[in-house]
Amino acid sequence: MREVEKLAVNKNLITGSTKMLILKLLEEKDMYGYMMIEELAKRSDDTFSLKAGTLYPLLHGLEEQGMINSYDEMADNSRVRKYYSLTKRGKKLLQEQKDEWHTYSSAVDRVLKGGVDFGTI
Amino acid sequence: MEQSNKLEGYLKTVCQQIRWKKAHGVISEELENHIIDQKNAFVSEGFTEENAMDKAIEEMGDPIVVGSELDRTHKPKPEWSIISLTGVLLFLGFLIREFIANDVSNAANSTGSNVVITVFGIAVMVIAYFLDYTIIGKHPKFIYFGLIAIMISSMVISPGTISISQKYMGQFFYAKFIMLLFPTAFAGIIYSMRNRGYEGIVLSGIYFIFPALLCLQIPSLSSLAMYTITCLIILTYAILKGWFNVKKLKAMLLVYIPTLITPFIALKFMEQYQIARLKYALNPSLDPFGAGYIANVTRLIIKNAKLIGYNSYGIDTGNLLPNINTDFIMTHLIDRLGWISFILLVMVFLIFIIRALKLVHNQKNVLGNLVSISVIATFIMQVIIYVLNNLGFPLIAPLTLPLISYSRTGTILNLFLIGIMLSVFRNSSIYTSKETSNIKGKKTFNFIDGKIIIDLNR
Repeated sequence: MREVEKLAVNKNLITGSTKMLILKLLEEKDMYGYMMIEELAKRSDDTFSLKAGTLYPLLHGLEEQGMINSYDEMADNSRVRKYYSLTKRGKKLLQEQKDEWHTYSSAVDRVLKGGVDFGTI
Repeated sequence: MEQSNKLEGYLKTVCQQIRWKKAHGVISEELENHIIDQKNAFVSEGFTEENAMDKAIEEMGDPIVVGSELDRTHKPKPEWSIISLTGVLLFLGFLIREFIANDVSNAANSTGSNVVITVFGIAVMVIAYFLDYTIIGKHPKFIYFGLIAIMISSMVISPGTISISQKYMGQFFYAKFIMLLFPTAFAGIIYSMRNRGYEGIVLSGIYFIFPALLCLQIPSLSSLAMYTITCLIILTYAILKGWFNVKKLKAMLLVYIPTLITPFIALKFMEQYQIARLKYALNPSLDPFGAGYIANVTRLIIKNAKLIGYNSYGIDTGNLLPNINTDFIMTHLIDRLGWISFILLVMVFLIFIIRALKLVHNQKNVLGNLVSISVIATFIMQVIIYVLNNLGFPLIAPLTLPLISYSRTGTILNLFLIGIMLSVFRNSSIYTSKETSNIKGKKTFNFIDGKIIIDLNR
C-alpha cells in the first residue's frame, strides 16, 4: 500500500515537471510536438528524452484545461503542423509551477547539504 | 508499402483505445506527422527507411497506453451552463404563461399543449444535439434548398388565415417561423465559399436574396429585417476572419453599400400601411387610437408600473392589449408584478446570451463559429425585437420571446437551434481549425530563415 502511494507521488512529480518544461518551451515560442521533444533533448543534453506517447496526452490535457491553444499551419512540404501556444492561464500556471519547483529543489538542496546554511558562510 | 502498414497499424491501435470516434481523425493526423518527422530525422542520421520507421514507431511508446491516456482527455463535453439556462428559460416560460392564463381571460394558453410543446421541443433539441452539426458544412446547398422547398410548400399548403389570432390574418403563419432557420443554412453556404474571393461574397449575396424575397411574399417586414441583420452579422464575421481571402475593407463595402441602398429603394415600393406603421412606431402619439394604439397603451401601462407590485392605480389592464401571452408578456408582467420581473427575466436572457457569446468566441473551428453565431444572433434578434415592442417601440413586429412567450412552432424551432448550437459546443475540443490553417500560414509578414518576407497579395 505504502509502495503504491510512493509510486503515485513519483509519477506526479515526473508529469508535473514535464508539464512545467513544456510550458516553459511554449513561453518562448509556439511549437509543434516533434519540435518540443527535439528542443528538450537538445537543451538537457539528452537527459530528458520525452516520449511522444507521453507528450501528446499531456499537450491535449493542457489544451483541454485552457493552458495552451493549438492551431494548424502549413509546413513547407504541404503537411499540416499542429502548433501549440501558451495562453494567459498557462503563463500563470507556469509561474506557479516554477515557484513550487524552486521551493522544492532548494529544500532538497538544503537536506543534501546537511543542514548547513551556506548563505551565512 | 509495409512501412505505411506499420504506421497505420500503430495509429489504429491508438485510436481503438479512444472511445470518442470523432476525435480519431485529428489525433491520428498529429501522431502521423510526428512519426514521419521522427522517421525523416533517423533517415538523415543514416538509418535505412525501414529501420527508421521501426525506430520512430518505437520512440512513440506503447500504443495502448498512449491511446488510453488520450481517451481520458478526449470526451464530448456537454455545455451544462447553456443546457441549464435553457431549462431555466423553459421553466420560467411555463410558469409565466400559466400565470398570465389565470390572470387574463383571453390569453392563448392551454396547460396540456404547454406540456406537450415543452416535451416535444426538448426531444427535438436532443436530436439536434446528437446530430453532427458538420452536415451543415458538408451539404449546405441541400439544406438551403430543402428549407426553401419546405417554406414554399408551407405557404402553398397552409393558407395565411389558419392562425391563432387575428394578427396573423393574411400572413403565412409557418413561413415566418421557418425563416428562423435560414441564417443557419446561410452560415453553411458561407462556409462553402472559402477562398472564393469577391465572387464568393457576391454568390453569398445571391443565396441571401431568395429567402428575402420569400419574406416579402409572407409578407413580413419583421422576418425580413431579422433575417437580413442576422445574415449580415455572419457575413461580416466571415469577412473579418479572412474567410474569402480578399481585402477586408473592399469586401465590407461590397456588402454594406448595396445593403444600405436597398431600404431607400424599398421605401418607394412599400405599401402605404407599412410606411404608416414605421411612422407610428417612431411616434405612436401621432395616432393614439388607430395605428399607434398598441404602442401608446404599452407606454401608458409601463409608465404607471411600480418597481415591485401591481400598477400604481390598481387598474386591470388585462383587456387593453391583444394577445398578451404571445406578444405582450413583458408589458403584462411589468404591470402586474412590477419592473423587478422584467429585470429578472432580462437578466436570465443576458446571462444566456453572454455565456453563449463567450463560447462562440472560444470556438476555434470556423464552421462551428459560423453556425453558433447564426443561432445566437437569431436568438438575440428575437429577444431585442420583443423587448422593444413590450416597452412601446414597435419598430418591427415581434415573432416570439424565445422559450417564454406562447408559441408552439417558435418554441420547437428555437429549441432545435439551441440544440445545434450545443452540438457545436459539445464537439469544440476536437474540430480544430483545419480551415484557418491557410489563413494562419499566409501572414502578411513571414519570418523565414532570418529573412522577413512581406506578402503584399493580401
